[in-house]
Amino acid sequence: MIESLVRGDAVHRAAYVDPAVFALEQERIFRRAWLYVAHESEVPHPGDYVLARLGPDEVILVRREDGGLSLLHNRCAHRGARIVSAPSGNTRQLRCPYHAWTYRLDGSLIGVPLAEGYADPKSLSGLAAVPRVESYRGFVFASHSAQGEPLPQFLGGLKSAFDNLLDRTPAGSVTRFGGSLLLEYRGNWKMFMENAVDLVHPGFVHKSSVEAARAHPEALRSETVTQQGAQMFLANGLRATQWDEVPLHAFPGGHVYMGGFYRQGVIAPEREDPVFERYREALVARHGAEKANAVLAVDRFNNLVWPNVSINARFGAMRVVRPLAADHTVVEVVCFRLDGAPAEMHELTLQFVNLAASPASLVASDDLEIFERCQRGLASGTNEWIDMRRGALGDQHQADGSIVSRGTSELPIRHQFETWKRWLAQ
Amino acid sequence: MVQEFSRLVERGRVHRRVYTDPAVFAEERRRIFRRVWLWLGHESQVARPGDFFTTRLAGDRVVVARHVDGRIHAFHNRCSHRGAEVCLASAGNARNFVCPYHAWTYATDGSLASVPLDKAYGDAAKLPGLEPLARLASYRGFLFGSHAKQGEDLETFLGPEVRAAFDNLVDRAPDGEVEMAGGKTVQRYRGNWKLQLENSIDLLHPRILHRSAIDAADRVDHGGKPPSIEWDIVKSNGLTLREWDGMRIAALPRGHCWMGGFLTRKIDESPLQKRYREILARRHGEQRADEILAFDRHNTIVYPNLFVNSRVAQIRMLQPVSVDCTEQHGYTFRLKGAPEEMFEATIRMVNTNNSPSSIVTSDDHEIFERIQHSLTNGEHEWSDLSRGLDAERDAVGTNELPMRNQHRAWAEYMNG
Amino acid sequence: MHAPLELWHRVQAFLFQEARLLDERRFGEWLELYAPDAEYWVPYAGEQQSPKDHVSLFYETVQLLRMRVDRLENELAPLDTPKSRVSHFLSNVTVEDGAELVARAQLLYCEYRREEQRWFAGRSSWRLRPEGASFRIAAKRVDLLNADQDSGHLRFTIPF
Repeated sequence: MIESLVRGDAVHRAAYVDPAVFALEQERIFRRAWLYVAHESEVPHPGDYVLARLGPDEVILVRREDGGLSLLHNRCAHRGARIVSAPSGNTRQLRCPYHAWTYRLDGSLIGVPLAEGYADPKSLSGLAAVPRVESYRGFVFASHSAQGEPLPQFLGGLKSAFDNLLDRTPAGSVTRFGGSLLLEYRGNWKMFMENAVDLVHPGFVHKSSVEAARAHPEALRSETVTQQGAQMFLANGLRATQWDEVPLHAFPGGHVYMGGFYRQGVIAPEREDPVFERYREALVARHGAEKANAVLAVDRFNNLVWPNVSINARFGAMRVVRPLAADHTVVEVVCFRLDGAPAEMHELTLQFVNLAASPASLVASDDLEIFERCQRGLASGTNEWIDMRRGALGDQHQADGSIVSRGTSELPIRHQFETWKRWLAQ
Repeated sequence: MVQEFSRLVERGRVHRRVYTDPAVFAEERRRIFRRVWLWLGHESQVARPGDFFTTRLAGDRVVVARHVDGRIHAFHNRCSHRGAEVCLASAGNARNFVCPYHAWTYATDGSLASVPLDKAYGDAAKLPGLEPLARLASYRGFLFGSHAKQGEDLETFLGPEVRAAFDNLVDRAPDGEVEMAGGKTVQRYRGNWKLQLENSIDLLHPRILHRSAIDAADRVDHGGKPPSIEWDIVKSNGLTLREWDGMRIAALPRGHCWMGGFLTRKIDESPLQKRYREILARRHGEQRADEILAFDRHNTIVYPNLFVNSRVAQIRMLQPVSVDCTEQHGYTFRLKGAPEEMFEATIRMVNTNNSPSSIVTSDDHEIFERIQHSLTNGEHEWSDLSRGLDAERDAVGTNELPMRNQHRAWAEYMNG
Repeated sequence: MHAPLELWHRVQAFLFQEARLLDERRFGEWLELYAPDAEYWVPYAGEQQSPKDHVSLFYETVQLLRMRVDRLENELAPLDTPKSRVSHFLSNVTVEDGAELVARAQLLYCEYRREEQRWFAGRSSWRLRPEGASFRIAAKRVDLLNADQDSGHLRFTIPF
């Protein structure tokens, strides 16, 4: 049944608009796949905790006394009250505010008041733990399902994005910093993941910010914050043939990355200025010159971890897409500091996120607007099928099972839906 | 399901689910609104090539445009690539429609004019244009659309008595042509769409429900000047129940109906009206002018969602939003060749009567909301519509015959 | 130190003029009110100390603002078709004249766009530089009550 919604050349609009399909996605994808939870740097010390989301559920990531991590449902085993309401903190134990049931950091029950009221207090439950939690180089993922492939296998070809992010740090680690931005739109969650690697749209959707930047060449000679913004807006104005030269790479498991397209000025992959020189020196001290150069030469923009994460290693930015309903989505945007890099680099990361991903962004705001128009448009008419054939003739299948295509191909959409179909069918 | 719907309408009463059940509403969309002819607008909205306007047809967003060849086209407002709306303006003039996402570009007849980098598709010629509306037709300049590929033609659907209302609206223009003008009003109420449909042919309620407005009209001192049409329409709601009972009503096939005019004829004696009559008589001759002006109806109701008021040059349309929410859109027309003050009077009449600030329809909408609110209250599941049930052959004004006629059509569509 | 009445009056008239220029979409004239090195900042977090260590809703130089408003005037911006309409309401204006001139006000901002009306409330503050009989804005900060709301924000169009 669900298989019939995806053909090689088109996808049925129900995939975007039907609440029943959304419910099935929640059950078969978001309650089974590995989903990003939080970063270990958010809970460095024993007793540290942070609230997070795992699919539709709210969970608590806790650093235990033994240094390990627990991921617990934020719901008292007694009457179901939310145990923790602060977004983060440090605690010795978890205590329900309602009737004071108290739990260890691993979720096991310490005790309940007036325990003699129960015939067998020992039989009472602790906090429910999420069955699988794993960290890949500090990035904590979890799954509601007890079965399934291990995390490294799940990440597959996209592990390289995390590896490159870590390799880019002089100290060998990243730290989450700078808060988070939340953007909301009234459209399906998949639109965000498709659009993030859609290289035909920038020339049209972002034309107004490209033209605004072109009208102000003096901004390119200005101080860093302005220059970065102007360069970012300009970068969307590549010619169609240039976009076509940006590589797209799709991996088994539904993951996709696109090559970089920032070419000039302060946002270029390698640039000549004192801050970047200091950074390069620190990186050479860690890796040696040859490897440092190789690390910096990896030029990718959005790396998409199926189903809902987009990571940009060069700028230390990550977006997590949270589906709320078939036509309602929130995207959380977070930043990572490259430990050991000059502080000015961290500012560039923040400014990148402010300019590219805030609700006030000149770029993201147009994308969100388009998603909403698609959501409204898709509800109209009798045409049930959405074409995704662009560039299919140019897909190149590689020996390792991955697929490479030119930048303007709709390969990512076809690839994501093939994966989507597989998860939903079983 | 079919049997179930047939049980919701009985002789003289209607089950409350007809007004309150979201499942019924969804089926109405499918079985009524997606099948019949629905009004889209007027040809004067797309007078020149490239002119377009957007509207909703049974919930779907639709663009109506006049192509360079002069023909009018209607299509779904949805790019055939990724589904984005291609046109957000409510009206305007465009050489083509460009999707803002990937710049697929469509001509004003909906055909695909260009796709960027189209070599990426093996054979771009096969890519589709905007999906045309299944059917589009015009009656004397009034545009109708239908989602159904098959069905009776527009003139048959309207029938002679409804066509007469459109005819009269156009005939009242000395130049034989009307144009939509003056903007539109949208009133929204939290109630089922059928409540307005029934209320517009309910001749028992005005004197009772609109009492406060009538009393206010009674207190107006005209200072010796002729009364205005907007005053007259408020005042005329205060006819005695006996007078309302003497009003003519007609129940027509397919759920359509009309009611006779109820305005006092005082405004006909105004200098403006006399001047207008003279212009009309010069064009058409005395006898024809009298015939045109003698056509005295208030609402002509085209089932399921249109009200034509020929005499005051107004059309209203219902856009059901959900089972308990409805929008009423009001449009005004200029009679070409008539004194401009006639149009001003039409506008004033709408301001007073059919705008969100109206002192008349505000009472109607308040009642609809109270009905919607309380229909689900209690064990009684039926709304009574039996007034005059035994006297259907000689219908009088306060007979609920036209409402029963609407529900008969409802049941036929829903069971068919 | 509170400013004398005459100064307070002139500052208030200046702030009202800024609000009016935004409401009337006279963006070019609006930017003329800003010093070339001015900063425009709408923090994301309450009590945010710096735009440099935490994400912001807006953190922009005058040149970035210029691009922003150029964009709003560009018919190609999907975000702003149909055009947003806004009203800025300022009240409780106070002015302190110390080492620098600082104005503060309560802000109500109403935006109407495509069938939806949105309200924002918050506190605005300006650092002003006297220039002739008038002023230039050296920095503006707007703290929205719901800047960090959990449900996120639909996109913004005309600045606060």
